[in-house]
Amino acid sequence: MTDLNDLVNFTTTNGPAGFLALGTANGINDQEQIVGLGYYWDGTNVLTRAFLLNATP
Amino acid sequence: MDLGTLGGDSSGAIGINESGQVVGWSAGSNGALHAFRYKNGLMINLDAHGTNQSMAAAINNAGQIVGSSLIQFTDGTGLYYSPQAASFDRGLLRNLISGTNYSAASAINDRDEIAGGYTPPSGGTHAFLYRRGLLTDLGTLGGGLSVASGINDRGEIVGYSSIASQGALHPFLYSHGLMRDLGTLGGNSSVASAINNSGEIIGYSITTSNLEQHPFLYSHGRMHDLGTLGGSNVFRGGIYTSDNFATAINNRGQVVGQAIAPTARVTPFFTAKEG
Repeated sequence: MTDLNDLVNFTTTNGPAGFLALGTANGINDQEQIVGLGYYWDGTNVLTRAFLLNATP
Repeated sequence: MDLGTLGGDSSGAIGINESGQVVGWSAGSNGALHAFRYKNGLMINLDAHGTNQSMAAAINNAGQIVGSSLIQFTDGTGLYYSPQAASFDRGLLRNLISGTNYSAASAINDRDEIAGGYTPPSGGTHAFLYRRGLLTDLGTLGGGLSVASGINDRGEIVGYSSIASQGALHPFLYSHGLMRDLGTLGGNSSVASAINNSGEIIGYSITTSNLEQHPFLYSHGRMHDLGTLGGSNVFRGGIYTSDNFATAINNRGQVVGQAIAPTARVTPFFTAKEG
Protein backbone atom coordinates (compact mmCIF):
# COMPACT_ATOMS: atom_id res chain seq x y z
CA MET A 1 0.00 0.00 0.00
CA THR A 2 1.58 3.26 -1.15
CA ASP A 3 0.66 6.73 0.11
CA LEU A 4 -0.04 8.78 -3.05
CA ASN A 5 1.09 11.90 -1.24
CA ASP A 6 4.57 10.36 -1.18
CA LEU A 7 4.65 10.27 -5.02
CA VAL A 8 3.99 13.95 -5.67
CA ASN A 9 5.96 17.17 -5.19
CA PHE A 10 3.75 19.83 -3.66
CA THR A 11 3.76 23.58 -3.32
CA THR A 12 3.26 25.49 -0.05
CA THR A 13 1.03 28.38 0.92
CA ASN A 14 4.10 30.61 0.50
CA GLY A 15 4.86 29.18 -2.92
CA PRO A 16 3.45 29.23 -6.44
CA ALA A 17 0.00 27.91 -7.37
CA GLY A 18 -0.33 24.15 -7.19
CA PHE A 19 -1.48 21.25 -5.09
CA LEU A 20 -0.73 21.27 -1.36
CA ALA A 21 -1.84 17.65 -0.90
CA LEU A 22 -4.02 14.97 -2.44
CA GLY A 23 -7.22 14.22 -0.56
CA THR A 24 -9.09 11.29 -2.09
CA ALA A 25 -8.52 8.79 -4.91
CA ASN A 26 -11.75 7.78 -6.64
CA GLY A 27 -10.81 6.01 -9.87
CA ILE A 28 -8.01 4.06 -11.59
CA ASN A 29 -7.67 2.63 -15.09
CA ASP A 30 -5.43 -0.13 -16.44
CA GLN A 31 -2.70 2.40 -17.34
CA GLU A 32 -2.38 3.26 -13.62
CA GLN A 33 -3.90 6.70 -14.17
CA ILE A 34 -5.56 7.76 -10.91
CA VAL A 35 -8.17 10.48 -10.43
CA GLY A 36 -9.58 12.15 -7.35
CA LEU A 37 -9.54 15.46 -5.59
CA GLY A 38 -6.82 17.40 -3.86
CA TYR A 39 -6.21 20.63 -2.01
CA TYR A 40 -5.03 23.35 -4.38
CA TRP A 41 -3.30 26.64 -3.55
CA ASP A 42 -4.17 29.37 -6.07
CA GLY A 43 -1.93 31.99 -4.47
CA THR A 44 -4.68 33.27 -2.19
CA ASN A 45 -7.03 30.46 -1.18
CA VAL A 46 -6.98 26.69 -0.62
CA LEU A 47 -9.48 25.10 -3.04
CA THR A 48 -10.73 21.59 -3.81
CA ARG A 49 -9.58 20.54 -7.28
CA ALA A 50 -9.79 17.46 -9.48
CA PHE A 51 -6.47 15.74 -10.15
CA LEU A 52 -5.09 13.19 -12.61
CA LEU A 53 -1.96 11.31 -11.54
CA ASN A 54 0.16 8.71 -13.29
CA ALA A 55 1.13 6.25 -10.56
CA THR A 56 4.02 5.02 -12.71
CA PRO A 57 5.93 8.05 -14.00
CA MET B 1 -2.07 17.40 -12.78
CA ASP B 2 -4.73 19.98 -11.96
CA LEU B 3 -7.76 19.44 -14.23
CA GLY B 4 -9.10 22.94 -13.62
CA THR B 5 -12.78 23.87 -13.26
CA LEU B 6 -15.79 24.99 -15.29
CA GLY B 7 -15.20 28.57 -14.16
CA GLY B 8 -15.79 28.23 -10.44
CA ASP B 9 -13.47 27.51 -7.54
CA SER B 10 -13.74 23.77 -7.00
CA SER B 11 -13.89 20.45 -8.79
CA GLY B 12 -13.52 16.72 -8.12
CA ALA B 13 -12.77 13.76 -10.39
CA ILE B 14 -14.66 10.51 -9.81
CA GLY B 15 -14.10 8.19 -12.78
CA ILE B 16 -11.66 7.49 -15.62
CA ASN B 17 -11.83 5.15 -18.62
CA GLU B 18 -9.10 3.37 -20.57
CA SER B 19 -8.74 6.35 -22.97
CA GLY B 20 -7.91 8.62 -20.06
CA GLN B 21 -11.21 10.48 -20.24
CA VAL B 22 -12.13 11.75 -16.76
CA VAL B 23 -15.56 12.60 -15.34
CA GLY B 24 -16.72 14.28 -12.15
CA TRP B 25 -18.18 17.51 -10.89
CA SER B 26 -17.11 21.14 -11.04
CA ALA B 27 -18.43 24.48 -9.90
CA GLY B 28 -19.42 26.83 -12.67
CA SER B 29 -18.92 30.58 -12.61
CA ASN B 30 -22.20 31.00 -10.69
CA GLY B 31 -21.15 28.44 -8.09
CA ALA B 32 -23.57 25.71 -9.22
CA LEU B 33 -22.07 22.23 -9.59
CA HIS B 34 -22.15 20.55 -13.00
CA ALA B 35 -21.04 17.23 -14.41
CA PHE B 36 -17.85 17.44 -16.49
CA ARG B 37 -15.80 15.37 -18.88
CA TYR B 38 -12.06 16.04 -19.22
CA LYS B 39 -10.48 14.93 -22.47
CA ASN B 40 -7.31 15.98 -24.28
CA GLY B 41 -6.64 18.80 -21.84
CA LEU B 42 -10.14 20.28 -22.03
CA MET B 43 -12.88 20.19 -19.39
CA ILE B 44 -16.39 20.51 -20.81
CA ASN B 45 -19.72 21.00 -19.08
CA LEU B 46 -21.92 17.92 -19.68
CA ASP B 47 -25.04 19.79 -18.69
CA ALA B 48 -24.48 23.09 -20.44
CA HIS B 49 -28.19 23.63 -21.09
CA GLY B 50 -29.38 22.61 -17.64
CA THR B 51 -30.42 24.86 -14.80
CA ASN B 52 -30.05 22.29 -12.03
CA GLN B 53 -26.90 20.87 -10.48
CA SER B 54 -25.43 17.59 -11.71
CA MET B 55 -22.55 15.18 -11.17
CA ALA B 56 -20.95 12.54 -13.41
CA ALA B 57 -20.08 9.33 -11.56
CA ALA B 58 -18.75 6.98 -14.24
CA ILE B 59 -17.63 6.71 -17.88
CA ASN B 60 -17.25 3.53 -19.92
CA ASN B 61 -14.79 2.84 -22.72
CA ALA B 62 -17.31 3.99 -25.36
CA GLY B 63 -17.42 7.39 -23.63
CA GLN B 64 -20.95 6.89 -22.27
CA ILE B 65 -21.37 8.80 -19.01
CA VAL B 66 -23.82 8.42 -16.12
CA GLY B 67 -24.42 10.15 -12.82
CA SER B 68 -27.20 12.22 -11.34
CA SER B 69 -28.85 15.61 -11.42
CA LEU B 70 -30.80 17.50 -8.79
CA ILE B 71 -34.48 17.78 -9.68
CA GLN B 72 -37.03 19.99 -7.95
CA PHE B 73 -40.00 18.29 -6.30
CA THR B 74 -42.98 19.57 -4.36
CA ASP B 75 -44.64 17.94 -1.39
CA GLY B 76 -46.86 19.06 1.48
CA THR B 77 -44.01 20.98 3.08
CA GLY B 78 -42.93 22.84 -0.05
CA LEU B 79 -40.15 22.59 -2.60
CA TYR B 80 -37.19 20.26 -2.23
CA TYR B 81 -34.42 18.92 -4.46
CA SER B 82 -33.51 15.27 -4.86
CA PRO B 83 -31.00 13.42 -7.13
CA GLN B 84 -32.20 11.63 -10.24
CA ALA B 85 -30.16 9.09 -12.23
CA ALA B 86 -28.99 10.61 -15.49
CA SER B 87 -26.98 9.96 -18.62
CA PHE B 88 -25.03 12.68 -20.41
CA ASP B 89 -24.70 12.79 -24.17
CA ARG B 90 -23.39 15.68 -26.30
CA GLY B 91 -24.26 18.35 -23.76
CA LEU B 92 -27.71 16.95 -23.04
CA LEU B 93 -28.74 15.47 -19.72
CA ARG B 94 -31.33 12.69 -19.83
CA ASN B 95 -33.01 11.37 -16.71
CA LEU B 96 -33.20 7.56 -16.76
CA ILE B 97 -35.96 6.70 -14.30
CA SER B 98 -39.36 8.33 -13.98
CA GLY B 99 -41.92 8.09 -11.20
CA THR B 100 -39.51 8.17 -8.28
CA ASN B 101 -38.33 11.01 -6.08
CA TYR B 102 -34.82 9.57 -5.67
CA SER B 103 -32.41 7.76 -7.97
CA ALA B 104 -28.69 7.92 -8.71
CA ALA B 105 -26.50 6.06 -11.21
CA SER B 106 -23.16 4.86 -9.85
CA ALA B 107 -21.59 2.80 -12.63
CA ILE B 108 -21.79 1.85 -16.31
CA ASN B 109 -20.10 -1.03 -18.12
CA ASP B 110 -19.06 -1.41 -21.75
CA ARG B 111 -22.42 -3.03 -22.58
CA ASP B 112 -24.26 0.18 -21.62
CA GLU B 113 -25.63 -1.48 -18.47
CA ILE B 114 -26.08 1.00 -15.63
CA ALA B 115 -26.23 0.31 -11.88
CA GLY B 116 -27.27 2.49 -8.96
CA GLY B 117 -29.96 3.03 -6.37
CA TYR B 118 -33.52 4.35 -6.42
CA THR B 119 -36.68 4.60 -4.36
CA PRO B 120 -39.20 2.01 -5.59
CA PRO B 121 -42.97 2.51 -5.22
CA SER B 122 -42.88 0.44 -2.03
CA GLY B 123 -40.45 2.92 -0.43
CA GLY B 124 -36.91 2.62 0.91
CA THR B 125 -33.91 2.49 -1.41
CA HIS B 126 -33.12 -0.44 -3.69
CA ALA B 127 -30.26 -1.27 -6.02
CA PHE B 128 -31.14 -1.21 -9.70
CA LEU B 129 -29.90 -2.36 -13.09
CA TYR B 130 -30.91 -0.22 -16.08
CA ARG B 131 -30.48 -1.91 -19.44
CA ARG B 132 -31.88 -0.90 -22.82
CA GLY B 133 -34.55 1.26 -21.23
CA LEU B 134 -35.66 -1.41 -18.76
CA LEU B 135 -35.28 -1.01 -15.00
CA THR B 136 -34.69 -4.08 -12.83
CA ASP B 137 -35.05 -3.86 -9.05
CA LEU B 138 -32.28 -6.03 -7.60
CA GLY B 139 -33.95 -6.42 -4.21
CA THR B 140 -32.05 -6.55 -0.91
CA LEU B 141 -30.34 -8.99 1.45
CA GLY B 142 -33.45 -8.91 3.62
CA GLY B 143 -33.50 -5.35 4.94
CA GLY B 144 -35.07 -2.28 3.42
CA LEU B 145 -31.95 -0.73 1.86
CA SER B 146 -29.66 -1.64 -1.00
CA VAL B 147 -27.50 0.39 -3.39
CA ALA B 148 -25.43 -0.82 -6.36
CA SER B 149 -22.02 0.82 -6.63
CA GLY B 150 -20.22 -1.13 -9.37
CA ILE B 151 -20.80 -3.26 -12.47
CA ASN B 152 -18.33 -5.13 -14.68
CA ASP B 153 -18.48 -6.14 -18.32
CA ARG B 154 -19.90 -9.56 -17.38
CA GLY B 155 -22.90 -7.79 -15.87
CA GLU B 156 -21.91 -8.69 -12.30
CA ILE B 157 -23.05 -5.99 -9.86
CA VAL B 158 -21.76 -5.13 -6.39
CA GLY B 159 -22.96 -2.81 -3.68
CA TYR B 160 -24.33 -2.93 -0.19
CA SER B 161 -27.56 -3.88 1.48
CA SER B 162 -29.04 -3.97 4.94
CA ILE B 163 -29.62 -7.45 6.27
CA ALA B 164 -32.82 -8.50 7.94
CA SER B 165 -31.56 -9.69 11.28
CA GLN B 166 -29.63 -6.63 12.48
CA GLY B 167 -30.12 -3.92 9.89
CA ALA B 168 -26.35 -3.73 9.45
CA LEU B 169 -24.93 -3.21 5.96
CA HIS B 170 -23.30 -6.09 4.12
CA PRO B 171 -21.66 -6.13 0.68
CA PHE B 172 -23.41 -8.03 -2.08
CA LEU B 173 -22.61 -9.59 -5.43
CA TYR B 174 -25.54 -9.80 -7.84
CA SER B 175 -25.18 -12.19 -10.76
CA HIS B 176 -27.50 -14.49 -12.71
CA GLY B 177 -30.49 -12.98 -10.94
CA LEU B 178 -29.27 -13.72 -7.41
CA MET B 179 -27.96 -11.37 -4.70
CA ARG B 180 -25.33 -12.97 -2.50
CA ASP B 181 -24.00 -11.72 0.87
CA LEU B 182 -20.17 -11.44 0.78
CA GLY B 183 -19.81 -11.21 4.55
CA THR B 184 -17.36 -9.06 6.50
CA LEU B 185 -13.83 -9.08 7.95
CA GLY B 186 -15.38 -10.20 11.22
CA GLY B 187 -17.14 -7.00 12.22
CA ASN B 188 -20.79 -6.16 11.96
CA SER B 189 -20.86 -4.24 8.68
CA SER B 190 -19.18 -3.95 5.30
CA VAL B 191 -19.70 -2.22 1.93
CA ALA B 192 -18.57 -3.14 -1.60
CA SER B 193 -17.48 -0.28 -3.87
CA ALA B 194 -16.40 -1.75 -7.20
CA ILE B 195 -15.78 -4.91 -9.24
CA ASN B 196 -13.36 -5.50 -12.12
CA ASN B 197 -13.73 -7.75 -15.15
CA SER B 198 -12.01 -10.64 -13.31
CA GLY B 199 -14.69 -10.51 -10.63
CA GLU B 200 -12.38 -9.03 -7.98
CA ILE B 201 -14.36 -6.85 -5.57
CA ILE B 202 -13.18 -4.08 -3.26
CA GLY B 203 -14.71 -2.03 -0.47
CA TYR B 204 -14.39 -1.72 3.26
CA SER B 205 -15.33 -3.72 6.31
CA ILE B 206 -15.40 -3.35 10.05
CA THR B 207 -12.86 -5.73 11.54
CA THR B 208 -13.37 -8.34 14.25
CA SER B 209 -12.97 -5.95 17.15
CA ASN B 210 -15.66 -3.66 15.69
CA LEU B 211 -13.22 -0.80 16.40
CA GLU B 212 -11.51 -0.45 13.04
CA GLN B 213 -12.49 -0.22 9.40
CA HIS B 214 -10.17 -1.68 6.75
CA PRO B 215 -10.25 -1.82 2.95
CA PHE B 216 -10.84 -5.31 1.53
CA LEU B 217 -10.26 -7.25 -1.66
CA TYR B 218 -12.70 -10.11 -2.29
CA SER B 219 -11.37 -12.73 -4.68
CA HIS B 220 -11.59 -16.51 -5.12
CA GLY B 221 -14.48 -16.65 -2.69
CA ARG B 222 -12.64 -14.97 0.20
CA MET B 223 -12.48 -11.48 1.67
CA HIS B 224 -8.87 -10.35 2.20
CA ASP B 225 -7.88 -7.51 4.54
CA LEU B 226 -5.79 -4.97 2.56
CA GLY B 227 -4.41 -3.51 5.78
CA THR B 228 -3.68 0.12 6.46
CA LEU B 229 -0.88 2.66 6.14
CA GLY B 230 -0.27 2.33 9.85
CA GLY B 231 -2.90 4.66 11.28
CA SER B 232 -6.15 3.52 12.77
CA ASN B 233 -8.59 6.01 14.25
CA VAL B 234 -9.05 9.73 13.68
CA PHE B 235 -10.86 12.05 16.09
CA ARG B 236 -13.16 14.12 13.92
CA GLY B 237 -16.39 15.96 14.62
CA GLY B 238 -16.38 14.85 18.21
CA ILE B 239 -16.12 11.14 17.45
CA TYR B 240 -13.43 8.65 16.48
CA THR B 241 -13.70 7.46 12.89
CA SER B 242 -11.68 4.93 10.95
CA ASP B 243 -11.52 6.13 7.36
CA ASN B 244 -9.73 3.21 5.72
CA PHE B 245 -11.56 2.15 2.55
CA ALA B 246 -11.06 1.13 -1.08
CA THR B 247 -12.89 3.02 -3.82
CA ALA B 248 -11.80 1.60 -7.19
CA ILE B 249 -10.03 -1.37 -8.79
CA ASN B 250 -8.70 -1.76 -12.32
CA ASN B 251 -8.52 -4.91 -14.43
CA ARG B 252 -4.93 -5.53 -13.24
CA GLY B 253 -6.16 -5.82 -9.65
CA GLN B 254 -4.64 -2.51 -8.58
CA VAL B 255 -6.66 -0.67 -5.94
CA VAL B 256 -7.03 2.94 -4.83
CA GLY B 257 -8.75 4.33 -1.77
CA GLN B 258 -8.23 6.27 1.42
CA ALA B 259 -6.25 5.26 4.49
CA ILE B 260 -5.09 6.81 7.72
CA ALA B 261 -1.36 7.47 7.92
CA PRO B 262 0.56 7.05 11.21
CA THR B 263 0.33 10.83 11.61
CA ALA B 264 -3.51 10.45 11.70
CA ARG B 265 -3.70 12.20 8.33
CA VAL B 266 -6.25 10.70 5.91
CA THR B 267 -4.48 10.14 2.59
CA PRO B 268 -5.21 8.42 -0.72
CA PHE B 269 -3.44 5.10 -1.35
CA PHE B 270 -2.54 2.91 -4.30
CA THR B 271 -1.75 -0.77 -4.07
CA ALA B 272 -0.66 -3.42 -6.51
CA LYS B 273 -2.44 -6.76 -6.58
CA GLU B 274 -1.47 -8.97 -3.65
CA GLY B 275 0.28 -12.24 -4.39
